[in-house]
Amino acid sequence: MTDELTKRIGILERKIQREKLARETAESQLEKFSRQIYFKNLSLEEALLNEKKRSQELEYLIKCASTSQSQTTLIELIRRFVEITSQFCNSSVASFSFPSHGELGLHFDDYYLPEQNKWIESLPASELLASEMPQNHVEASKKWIISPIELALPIQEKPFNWMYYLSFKIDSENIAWICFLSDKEYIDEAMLYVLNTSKEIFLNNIHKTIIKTRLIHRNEELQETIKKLQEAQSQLVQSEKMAVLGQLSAGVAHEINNPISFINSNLQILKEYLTDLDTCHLQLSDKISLEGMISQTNFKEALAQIDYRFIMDDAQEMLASAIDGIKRITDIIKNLKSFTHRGPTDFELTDINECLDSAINIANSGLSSRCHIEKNLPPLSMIHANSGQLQQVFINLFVNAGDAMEPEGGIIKVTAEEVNNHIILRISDSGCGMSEETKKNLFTPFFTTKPVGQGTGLGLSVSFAIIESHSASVDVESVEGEGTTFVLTFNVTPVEVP
Amino acid sequence: MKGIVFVKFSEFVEEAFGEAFWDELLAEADLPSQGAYTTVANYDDNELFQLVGLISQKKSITPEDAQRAFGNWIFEHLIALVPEHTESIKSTFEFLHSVQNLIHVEVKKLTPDAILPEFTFLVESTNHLSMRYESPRHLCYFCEGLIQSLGKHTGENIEVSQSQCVHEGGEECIMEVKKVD
Repeated sequence: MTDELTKRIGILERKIQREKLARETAESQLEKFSRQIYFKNLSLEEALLNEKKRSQELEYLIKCASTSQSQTTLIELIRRFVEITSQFCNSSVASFSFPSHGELGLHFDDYYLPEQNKWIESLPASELLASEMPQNHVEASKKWIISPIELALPIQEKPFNWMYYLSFKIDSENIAWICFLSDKEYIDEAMLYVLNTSKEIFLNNIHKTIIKTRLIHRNEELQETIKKLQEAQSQLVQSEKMAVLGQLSAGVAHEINNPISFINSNLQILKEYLTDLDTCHLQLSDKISLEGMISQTNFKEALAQIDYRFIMDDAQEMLASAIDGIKRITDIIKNLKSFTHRGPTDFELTDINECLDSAINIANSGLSSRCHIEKNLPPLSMIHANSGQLQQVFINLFVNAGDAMEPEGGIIKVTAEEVNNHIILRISDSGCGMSEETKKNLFTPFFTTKPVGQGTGLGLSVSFAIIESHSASVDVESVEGEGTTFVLTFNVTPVEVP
Repeated sequence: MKGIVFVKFSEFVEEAFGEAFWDELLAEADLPSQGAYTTVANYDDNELFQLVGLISQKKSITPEDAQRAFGNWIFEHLIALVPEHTESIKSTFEFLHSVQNLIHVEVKKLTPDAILPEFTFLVESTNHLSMRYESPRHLCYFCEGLIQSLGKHTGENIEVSQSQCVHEGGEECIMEVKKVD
């Protein structure tokens, strides 16, 4: 063997040696890698499992939180919580006891079977379950109580090993119970933490539902009170109307009496005229019976004797006057009827001009003869209003204006203008005006400057309520000793019908 | 440093100077790894520097040229490991960008503790790219060799030089890559 060859063999041997060493290093490295991968895999699997569990827990908690949004009654809320909790913690059966009025003790009547996702009633377990609970039922536990049991139920062969239950108040006296039975050998501790959280959510939902129920109840009571108040208010408006009418009654009676008395005297005179005509007719008939005929001279004399022409003319006049008198009475009664009629509260298209005319007619009857109402209105757009109520406001303002101008009397001026879809109505008097104090309390109920027994103190406050219900506004301009002007502003655009 | 570099370095030396020279080099260097390199392990950087130093002594070439030559040689061998990507390397400048923005990012994901050079692109035109090379290993000459070989791969006539180099008193290494028509 040559030196060259020996050298070559040496090189190759060392190379093989290095390759072997490298292979060993690589193998040990690979072994290390596979070990790392194996452990990494294990921890990944564990993480995945944990993540899955966490996601189930979260899903369960979200379900718990969302029960209050959809469930309305306490029982529905409890049933839903029992269902989702039972599914989450893999219990075999779950139930609840909800106190019914007049019954003491615990009553587990409905049972939920999570595997079949259904509720059953026919499980003779109520007493068995109740006997496992603490005998003192009056205190709510408000926390989970877990107790080992030995219990068999006809729904499955396997006996139950654990029972966990929770009790909570549903009002000042009554306590509800929920209970889960498990046939597992052990209870997962991690699950208990989740149950603790879900319990808080559940009790919170129960609390919210109780408050919501109370609120609904309170709301119903309030609605009832509002209804009663509205009725009382409507009665008040009517009473006030009648009170104003009472104030006006003397004048109204006079207005009615006047035509009645002249109709009466007219009728008396007409009766006499009829007697005269009848007498004349008898005389002429007698003469015809005796003489067979009467001369024209005799006929004329007989008519002249009773003043026939005058009687006929006067009778015409008196009848016309009586008809007029009856019309006056009819008008007054018609106006009074429309004013006092409680009528529907409906709003309809109303002409303020007509409404004012009617109010002026009624007020004129009641105002002293020294007061006059002067109305000077252009044609105005129709507004949505209740004409009876508006009349009440106007009459009230006229009566107050009349009172303010006593004893001298004066003119109540009514003017109006229409600007930018608004009707501005002014009712002014030249009366005593108002002090700042009076102005401040003007619309306060029962505030009055009139002597005891003459004013209810409700007139303007009722008027104010009516004006508000018409979405209108009222302003008062008043100078003591000079007079007062009420400015009413109505919207021409149709107001919302209340 | 990754075992692949050492394995390829041994192949390079054996190819360039023969198995006997490599054997002699290892006997003389007396390295902790004894030169039994495998791609799945990591080795001390100094082993490579020591081997390069010995080669330059024995073969009377500068360590810079030795690094350049190794860089030049290894590029095609590394590319051969990922044949599916070979086709996509068409432009030198583009590839240098993707080394910094794509390849190094992916390497970091796989090997978080890998020490990688940082390229900062300073000036770029159609035919000229100026970039900063930063690495605690200071293998700028090796990088030059790699870029030269990349140019050969893309079929572009590429010239690489450094306008500044830390090995020559510069503050940083600036690579000037030029396309020559």
